[in-house]
Amino acid sequence: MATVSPAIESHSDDHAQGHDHHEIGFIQKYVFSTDHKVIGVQFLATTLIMLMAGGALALAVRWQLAFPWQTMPIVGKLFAGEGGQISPEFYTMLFTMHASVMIFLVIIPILAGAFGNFLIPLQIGADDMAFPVLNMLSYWFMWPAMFFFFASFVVGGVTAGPAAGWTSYPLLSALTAAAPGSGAAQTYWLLGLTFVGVSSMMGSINYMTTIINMRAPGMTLFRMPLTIWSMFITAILQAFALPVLTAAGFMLLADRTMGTCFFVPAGIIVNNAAPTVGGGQPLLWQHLFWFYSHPAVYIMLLPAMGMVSDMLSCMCRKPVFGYKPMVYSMSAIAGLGFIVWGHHMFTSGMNPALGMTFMTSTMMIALPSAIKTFNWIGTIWGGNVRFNSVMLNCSGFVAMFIVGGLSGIFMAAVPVDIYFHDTYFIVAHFHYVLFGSTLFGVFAAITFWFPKMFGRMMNDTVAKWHFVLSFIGFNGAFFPMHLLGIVGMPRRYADPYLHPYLEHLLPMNQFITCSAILMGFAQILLLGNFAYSIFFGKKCGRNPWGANGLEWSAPSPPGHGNFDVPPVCYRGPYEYSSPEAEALGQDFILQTEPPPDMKKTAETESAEATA
Amino acid sequence: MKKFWALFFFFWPVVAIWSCWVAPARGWWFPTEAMSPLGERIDGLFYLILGIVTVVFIGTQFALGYVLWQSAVKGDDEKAEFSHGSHSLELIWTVVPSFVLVFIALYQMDVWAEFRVQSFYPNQTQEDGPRLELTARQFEWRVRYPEPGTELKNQPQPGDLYAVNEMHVATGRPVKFNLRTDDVQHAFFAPELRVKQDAVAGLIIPVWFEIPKAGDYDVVCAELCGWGHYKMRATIVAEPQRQVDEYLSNLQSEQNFDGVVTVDDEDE
Amino acid sequence: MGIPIPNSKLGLWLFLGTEIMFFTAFIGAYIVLRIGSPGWPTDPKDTHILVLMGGINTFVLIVSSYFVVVAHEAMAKRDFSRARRYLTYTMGLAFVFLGIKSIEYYGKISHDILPSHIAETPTQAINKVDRELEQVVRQRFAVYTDAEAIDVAQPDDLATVSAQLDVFAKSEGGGDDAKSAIHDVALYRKWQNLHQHIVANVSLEKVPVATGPGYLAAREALSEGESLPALEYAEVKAELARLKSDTNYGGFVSAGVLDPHPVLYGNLFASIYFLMTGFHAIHVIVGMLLFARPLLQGNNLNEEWTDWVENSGLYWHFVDLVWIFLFPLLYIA
Ligand code: HEA
Ligand code: HEA
Ligand code: CUA
Ligand SMILES: [Cu+2]
Repeated sequence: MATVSPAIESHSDDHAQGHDHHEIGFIQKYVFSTDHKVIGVQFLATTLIMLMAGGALALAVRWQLAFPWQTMPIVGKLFAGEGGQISPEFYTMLFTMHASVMIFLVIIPILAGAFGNFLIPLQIGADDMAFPVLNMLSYWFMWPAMFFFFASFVVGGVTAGPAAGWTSYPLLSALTAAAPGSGAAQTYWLLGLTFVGVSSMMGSINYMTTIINMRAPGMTLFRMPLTIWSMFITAILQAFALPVLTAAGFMLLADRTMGTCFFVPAGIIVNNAAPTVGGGQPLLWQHLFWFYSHPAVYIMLLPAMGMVSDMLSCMCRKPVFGYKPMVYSMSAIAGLGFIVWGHHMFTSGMNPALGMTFMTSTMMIALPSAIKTFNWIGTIWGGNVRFNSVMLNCSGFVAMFIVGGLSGIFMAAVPVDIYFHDTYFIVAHFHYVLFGSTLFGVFAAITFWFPKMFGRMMNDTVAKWHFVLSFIGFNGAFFPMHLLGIVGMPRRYADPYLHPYLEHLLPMNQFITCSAILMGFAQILLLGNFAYSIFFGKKCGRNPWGANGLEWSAPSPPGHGNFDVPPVCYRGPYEYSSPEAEALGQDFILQTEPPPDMKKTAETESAEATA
Repeated sequence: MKKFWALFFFFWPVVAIWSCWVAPARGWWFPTEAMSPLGERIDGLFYLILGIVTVVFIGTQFALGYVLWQSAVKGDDEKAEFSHGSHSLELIWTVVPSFVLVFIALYQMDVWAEFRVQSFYPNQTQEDGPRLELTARQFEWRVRYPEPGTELKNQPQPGDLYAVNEMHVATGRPVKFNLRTDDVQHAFFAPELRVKQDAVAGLIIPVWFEIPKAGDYDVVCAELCGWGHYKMRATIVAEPQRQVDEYLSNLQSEQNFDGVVTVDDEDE
Repeated sequence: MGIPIPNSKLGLWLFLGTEIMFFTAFIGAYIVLRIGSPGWPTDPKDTHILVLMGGINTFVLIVSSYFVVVAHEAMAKRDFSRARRYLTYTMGLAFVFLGIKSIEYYGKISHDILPSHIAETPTQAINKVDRELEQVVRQRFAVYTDAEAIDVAQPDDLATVSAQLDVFAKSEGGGDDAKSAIHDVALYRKWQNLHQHIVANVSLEKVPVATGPGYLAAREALSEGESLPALEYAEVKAELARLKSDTNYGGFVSAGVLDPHPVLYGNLFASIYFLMTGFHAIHVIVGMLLFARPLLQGNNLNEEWTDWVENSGLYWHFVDLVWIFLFPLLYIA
């Protein structure tokens, strides 16, 4: 439990650094490393692979919707069922696991795990996280999670996975007889969820402590880059929302395995099994689940928002428009995020008065989002924009977030949600916010911080192709889903065309599938570019983008302990094109650059700060 | 190349709006116009929000394209404007959207109340009481009518009439029914009527709608309920009260039919 | 920059924040379920809650929390032997707490107050008696089949076993086994009779044997709309009491069959009770492990452990606090 030992050891590692290089073996340096940068890269690599896995599952989902009940090319033979077609049970499992992988093994860990880990100490000028061992554990707890998620594919045979959707509503998920195949699989799925939860939990405590306590001298709260603010707020959301899901998960697990009845009412007969005893409430799960999972959607967005603000500012050579409003609106999103969960349950039969409250608070949460959107546009306005792939992905982020957010307004209006709930309109909405915003933000962030991670640049031309193809494929795939939703096509349907009023949608779904395949191909460009550039990318110096943040004053890649001189922060993070910078003959000014009159005393001061 | 990218961000919203524009003509829009008065009001609300959102969409997307374009036509070494923001702008784009949002929030309250708050249901439904009970189960809809001339009880009664996947209701008057499930969660979704309500184990939820025009209306299941979720299908047959009564009495004699035909039965 | 609190302590505080949310979820669920249920078992006769035990445990935890404070103070004053003594007291009280907890758990387990085991309605209670009685009969029969006193092809089929046992009991030279077999067969028949009445739901007293000729005749004689008198809970209870007081097999029945005792919402109560106290007990055990670390240092305990003791003390106060919420919620309300 080295984690509980006070870690004031920061800033005094010169001596430790010396012998670490001799004693640390390969395994400790690159596998069981406690270095936040290595852990960040580990998270990044793992989640990118998971992105492919989750994407492959999505493509299988799309296959069924475009060519229902036809054998899938190549992989089709692997599946059980007649002639290798996707059985309805298998379809249910496909989208359940698609969503679980994407949400729990891709988006959350890529934001908090990969970029949170890599950027927090570097951007606040610390030499590592507050609790390095805990940090390492938080990565390695992803492995049991992945193990359980993937075991849930196989424990019941190929087609009998967890089959209750990523939301796992009881009773489908609580009674083993309700979804015959998914007996053990659903239990495994819950265990996986618990491990992801533990991992995130460890991460969030670490991030909060680090950000509160380990900032470099001069790094006041309002000098922190928005990335750090967003990570901080995200960590708070994680820390206070996630335990509720963990608790609910334990309750569901107990319902499945120990005969408790939290979510199981009395007298329910499923599939001719014995009637249930008890008196629990299925809606309780929905409340607990969404109490976490609504804040979680902001956990899946805020870090991207923060990073995009950073990158936009850098690529436009212009300060972020309205830094403080950005901070306050992120806090407002987080705060309101805790009281809007009921908007997922408008049609669930909960008390209608609650519906009104949740509707109003949901409308209000659009306000801080609006402020942020306008501020991003304001940031580009009058800037000297560099049209590279980072900028394009960031602009894509803003454009897509607007679409995803605006579709949210329809659903926030309860009466309209009565119609749209559980149709493809919802599917369109959350892919726009999850893929459209978050992933485009992540693509930008990968390109932007890649030089810091590996000391080499990614190929910008390939990255631009990746952007264009992803963007076109993405919109081709998900924009039409709004229309499917308006037609009233329910989600989670293995074969919508069974219903006469949906029959004519087949061509549209085939178009969507083709676009999704295009989008899938585009991701191969990303992976290829990523892998190639690690070894063969153009070498770069400390600050290839001419950015301001503390991380750019460290070597690329930073060594153990990050900074060669303990950094001191003298100004805000976004002083691009400021008169001070002009005076130096450049359009950026590092946060570590002392003001002219202090330049002389700088050396002494940083020495003092170390002491 | 810079201009190309700026135009790119102008271009795609145009395509998006175009695709919405042509959608209704190609059947990518509501299955039919709303077939119930409440549904019409939901549609009205939808179009109102659509209008607001379209304005915001065009405004913001074109603003984004415009600021990119502005920079694209600038020379490479032209300096960026050094500004940390603007209080008055910040104020404007906080206050204006908040009015719009509060307006939407308040405007829709009464539709919601009428749909879901029992005391706001049409008086007729209070007087009539629930006309039937719809029970979802894996994977079908079971309908239970009270014996003609009696009221629906929550417990099944000996005289009750049963049907599967077909519910007959009267046109031209609000009809309330009880929704419940025998097993896992399901959701009653009638797209043409714009009605959706989950059926939750352990709860009996009253739902109402009104259909002015006789005809058959689809019912599908909108909450994941297992592998057969996609194939739960039922029909609402809306017809004048007289025909409903006829249907029920037919159902009754069918159900009471014990296989023995006597002269008495035929007289009835 | 930062706040003047060491990372470890800050981290622990944040961790406790998450723990609060964890228990809040349970407590919230409890409140929702309880308010949402039309009834709730509160009578200790139903729940086997021991308020006094809970009260003592509250006291035990509060005192132990005080001891940790003393231990930490001693650590800060570098009086390590005193610190060790008080840590030991804390540890001891933690054991007392768990001991009392196990007594309570035992009381519930021995009355089968366990999730999904509790009969909520008289009908369920009757069925439970039936099931348990069958279990007793099976166990009795297993004595003979296991010892191979009789030779049966299908030891699971009670009817055949009983028939063979009947022969065996009457055969000569069976010894004591044969004598007890008579009683076991008698018990089997009693259970069979009860079982048939339960399945047919007809009165035990007014209808001879539920599938026998008397029953069939009675059923034949019914006119339209009439039905045989339904089985009553009290009849089964009385019959069970008779079985239990029988000198020959009453012992087995008493040991294997609980008195029927329907508890409405008992399963929900048991679920909540074991969930909350169970997770609390896990936290107690974690706390004990935390105290064990410095205690294992023995005489080598030194100032390096001061923060450790302080932080585990903080954690212990939290565990204490949770109990202070659980006690009134579960035991008194
Ligand atoms: C990153 C993830 C993310 C984000 C950021 C959001 C953001 C929002 N979401 Fe979304 N949501 C999901 C992920 C996300 N959501 C997921 C995964 C689901 C489905 C889960 C499932 O069932 O499987 C879901 C479902 C969901 C529902 C439930 C639908 C249903 O099942 O019936 C609702 C209902 O209110 C909703 C609303 C909103 C709103 C109002 C916002 C707002 O925060 C959006 C605010 C932003 C804007 C509004 C745009 C910018 C603003 C302007 C340009 C200003 C001007 C605007 C106006 C004046 C209108 N979401
Ligand atoms: C971050 C989250 C995220 C992301 C990124 C995605 C990405 C995609 N999703 Fe997602 N999806 C969800 C989260 C996400 N989804 C959620 C939460 C649900 C709800 C589930 C539920 O109802 O419970 C859902 C449901 C869902 C449905 C609805 C299913 C249904 O209701 O019946 C559909 C249907 O089209 C779909 C499609 C896609 C597609 C085409 C992509 C594409 O973007 C994917 C692009 C493809 C790739 C990135 C892979 C590229 C890789 C290769 C081509 C190589 C493959 C080979 C190897 C094995 C190496 N998703
Ligand atoms: Cu029933 Cu879905
Ligand atoms: Cu939400």
